[in-house]
Amino acid sequence: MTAVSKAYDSAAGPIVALRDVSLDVRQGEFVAVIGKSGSGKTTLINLLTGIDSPSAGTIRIASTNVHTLDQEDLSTWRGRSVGIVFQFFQLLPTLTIAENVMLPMDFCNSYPAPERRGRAVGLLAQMGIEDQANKLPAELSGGQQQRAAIARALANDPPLIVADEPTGNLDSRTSEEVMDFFSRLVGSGKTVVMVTHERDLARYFARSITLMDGAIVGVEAPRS
Amino acid sequence: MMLSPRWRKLRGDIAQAQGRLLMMAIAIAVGVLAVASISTAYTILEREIVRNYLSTNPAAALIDADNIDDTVVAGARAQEGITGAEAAGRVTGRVQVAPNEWLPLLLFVLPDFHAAHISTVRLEAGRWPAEPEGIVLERTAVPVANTALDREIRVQTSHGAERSLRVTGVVHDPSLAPAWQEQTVYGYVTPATLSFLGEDPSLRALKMTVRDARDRVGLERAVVGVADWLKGAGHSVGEIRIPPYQHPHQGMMTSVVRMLLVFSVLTLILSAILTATLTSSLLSPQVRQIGVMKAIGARSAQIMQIYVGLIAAIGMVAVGIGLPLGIVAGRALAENTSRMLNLELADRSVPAWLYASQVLIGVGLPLAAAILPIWIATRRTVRETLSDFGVRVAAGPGRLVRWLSRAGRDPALVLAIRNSVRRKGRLALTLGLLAAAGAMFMTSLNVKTAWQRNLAEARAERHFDAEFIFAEAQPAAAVLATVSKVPGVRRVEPWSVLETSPARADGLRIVRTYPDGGHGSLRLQVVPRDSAFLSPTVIAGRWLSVHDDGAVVNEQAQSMIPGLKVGDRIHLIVRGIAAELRVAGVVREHLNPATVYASPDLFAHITGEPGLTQGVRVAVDSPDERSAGEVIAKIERALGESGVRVTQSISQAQLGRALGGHLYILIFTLLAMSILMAIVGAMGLGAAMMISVLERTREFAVMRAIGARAGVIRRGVIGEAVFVGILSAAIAQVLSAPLTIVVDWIVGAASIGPALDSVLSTASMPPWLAIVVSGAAVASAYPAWKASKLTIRQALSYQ
Repeated sequence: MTAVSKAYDSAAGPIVALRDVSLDVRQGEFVAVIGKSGSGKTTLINLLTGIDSPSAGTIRIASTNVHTLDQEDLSTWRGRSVGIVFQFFQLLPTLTIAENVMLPMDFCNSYPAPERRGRAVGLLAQMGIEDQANKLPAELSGGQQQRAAIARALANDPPLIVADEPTGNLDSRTSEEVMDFFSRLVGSGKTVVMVTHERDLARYFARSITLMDGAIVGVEAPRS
Repeated sequence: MMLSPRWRKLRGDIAQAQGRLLMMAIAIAVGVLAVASISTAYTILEREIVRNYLSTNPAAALIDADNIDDTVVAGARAQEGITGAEAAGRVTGRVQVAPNEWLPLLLFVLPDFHAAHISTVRLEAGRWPAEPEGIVLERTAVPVANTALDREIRVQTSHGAERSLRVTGVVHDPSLAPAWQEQTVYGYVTPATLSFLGEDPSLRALKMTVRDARDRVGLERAVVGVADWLKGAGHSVGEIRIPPYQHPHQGMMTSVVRMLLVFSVLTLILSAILTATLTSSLLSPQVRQIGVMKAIGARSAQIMQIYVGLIAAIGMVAVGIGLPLGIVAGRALAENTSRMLNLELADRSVPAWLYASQVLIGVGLPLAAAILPIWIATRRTVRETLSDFGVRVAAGPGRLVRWLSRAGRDPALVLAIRNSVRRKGRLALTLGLLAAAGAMFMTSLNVKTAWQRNLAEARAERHFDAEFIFAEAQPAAAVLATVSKVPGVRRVEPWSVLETSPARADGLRIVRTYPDGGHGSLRLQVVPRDSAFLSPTVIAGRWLSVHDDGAVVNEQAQSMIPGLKVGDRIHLIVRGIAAELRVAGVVREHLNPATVYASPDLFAHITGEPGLTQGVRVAVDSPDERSAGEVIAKIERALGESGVRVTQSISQAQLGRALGGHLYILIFTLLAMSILMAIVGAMGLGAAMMISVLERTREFAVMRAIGARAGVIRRGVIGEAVFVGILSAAIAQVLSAPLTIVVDWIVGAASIGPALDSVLSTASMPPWLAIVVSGAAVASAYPAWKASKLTIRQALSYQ
């Protein structure tokens, strides 16, 4: 991200959510974005994933100039290049867990149709919930749903995983398991950018970026 | 084949929202039912009315001439363009239907029933009469004549005495309007029966068929050719009738059914628009899911596919429900209408294109209506969709709603009124649906009232109770003296009426009347001096003066002669005599045939018969049907005793029945259509209430949490529906005014010529209000019950 700013219009006038933010994330890096509520964390990852577009500045991920893509191209790019994990899981309630994982493959036509279910069950197995594959999200615990959401994020084998407070609704033991899994992903060459406000997870990250009032106010590298 | 996850999602969504989706499907199904039923009826009736008419091999033209024998028939057949010719006859008379009651009788004379090939009839019961005392009746005439197979009827023709004839058979003649509508009895006899009745048995009509009866120019050329040939051969040629080559009521039926088709399409469009609203409501809880799908790689087009698929599936279900029911209803409507038109439905099949078009309409229209909300929902950015938190109230209630709310003391009622305007778009559509149904209902009652008022005004314009038409012109003074002496007669006037036709340069009398001689005819009516029996409304020029040499036409006659206006000269043939008349005025009359009015002086000048009359009109002291009937019988006896032969006597009551019969089909179908629209409206209201309840589930939880009892919730929901119903009735009242005027115009044009005098009545409001309020209460009962049964925990956890 280079010199990225984002402002929203509101009845009270424009609100600046991010101001002149520049950030480089290397391939295979595990980066945390930390900050208080309203600091601009969610805006930053929304811009990274193309969910939102910058008011100013450029965003380049691998060889793609994300800020130049229209909504349709963004959807396609996102489906193949980014896996998103939401805080509230956001699994589709009328699909089984396996079907939820198959959905990105279906939309991006990334794997042959007969192979999709096998791949989905395999990803669920990696998350330790393959026995839940045929259940609906409502039948699973919060931890299981988040694992399923991570499996869905990995469905198209994207190089970048963006997670918005993925442990925010999990107990500490499950949080640890999820973080361990993200670490393994990073170990396998994936890039993970995670929004969190939990300082005790800092040991997992290669770098922690602290935001305040829409600007980067600190960069830490705890593991070093 | 395994479904892909996106289609599994669709399946899951359907399973989850099956109640709402079923309601949508039913709303569309009712629309499809309306269109399918009317198009089915239309298709069957249009096909069958033509088939019925053509099955008789109808005469393309008839020429009245003296003594049509085999030589004439053979000669006519040899003329250019003529494909067939037969001799026939037509005699008018009367038939006794009750002790003092006679109805007009129209006798069709056939030399040989078995050999007839033109304008044939089908024997349904009994046998063709071999004896002179036998008669065959048209099937609709049997009840009108108050008789049955093998019973005797008393008849009298123009030149004969009263005779009894035995009904030996019953036939179906689909080329005629039903006898009960025309209050005329149709019979079929041989020349031998004519002799028995005291008439000249010679056949005086030549029926002909041509190669293409729809080629009106070619047809007229061929018929004129035959007429010229007849004249050349020394025959006298009388009236030439070229009927419009269709059933007498085909024009009316087509206009009415087309009008109904428009209304049924309107119903479907309204239900499709309702689908659009319901689609928006369905999509609102899906907005976040759409955001998630886009976040994980779905393109807008892929998401659109899912929801378009959903609406298409609903459309298919709706077609699956509505189409078969519509076909059944359409067949029933066609059956009912065919009975009213005296048609035989030989083929009730519906063409494949109708099925295809209904599928196309049933699926396509809701899709077309829903595509915009789907497009809007799927085009929203991921950020917008993920930050959507559902229904908000953007603005406060309007002034009217605030005033109404203040007027109510019941909090449930206040909430109901305010809630009704929260979703203005949905409210507008629900109101539109119900108001359209209400307007239709009110219009059908208005048209019925207008028709009845037209009948009453027609009655009021004719200040007499009965009309007598004589076989021969009689000295007016003597006849008046005879009739005025009859006890119970209040006033009697000499009124001559003669069939006439516009004159042509070649001297031929060509008229466009139907085989019954009534529909499409033009008549010349002589108005006596100082008549108290007629008070027409002059709309142009003036009424007749005492020694007037001008004529006055009614609007019906004016429409028969295009461009005719006051001051123009019209050329008529009266009793074979050419007459030129100057139009002095135009009058408006209710439910009267096309008529040219002339003074006695002018009539005498034309016919050369001063002081003679062809008939009389009589007013009686007690105009009730029974007393009038008794006086009519006495008059007939008195006239008979003085040697005057009455060929027709018709009372105003009989005339009223004949005119009234024409509109039953229309009133019936209009009411049926309004009921269908009301069902769609109630469905729409029920669906809207269901969605409203779902959207406000959390609100109900809060109400319950702060102490509202189930009854208050139920009252609120039902109150909202009833409020919308009442509001729609008010709009319907306003809408019904222009609709009534349009329908009156169509009905008038299709049946009696000028438009009906519209009646914009508020009398239809109370029944409609009762229907719509009870419909609203019933439609909202289930949503209200659902709302009241939600537990607070369930309601607060609803997403």
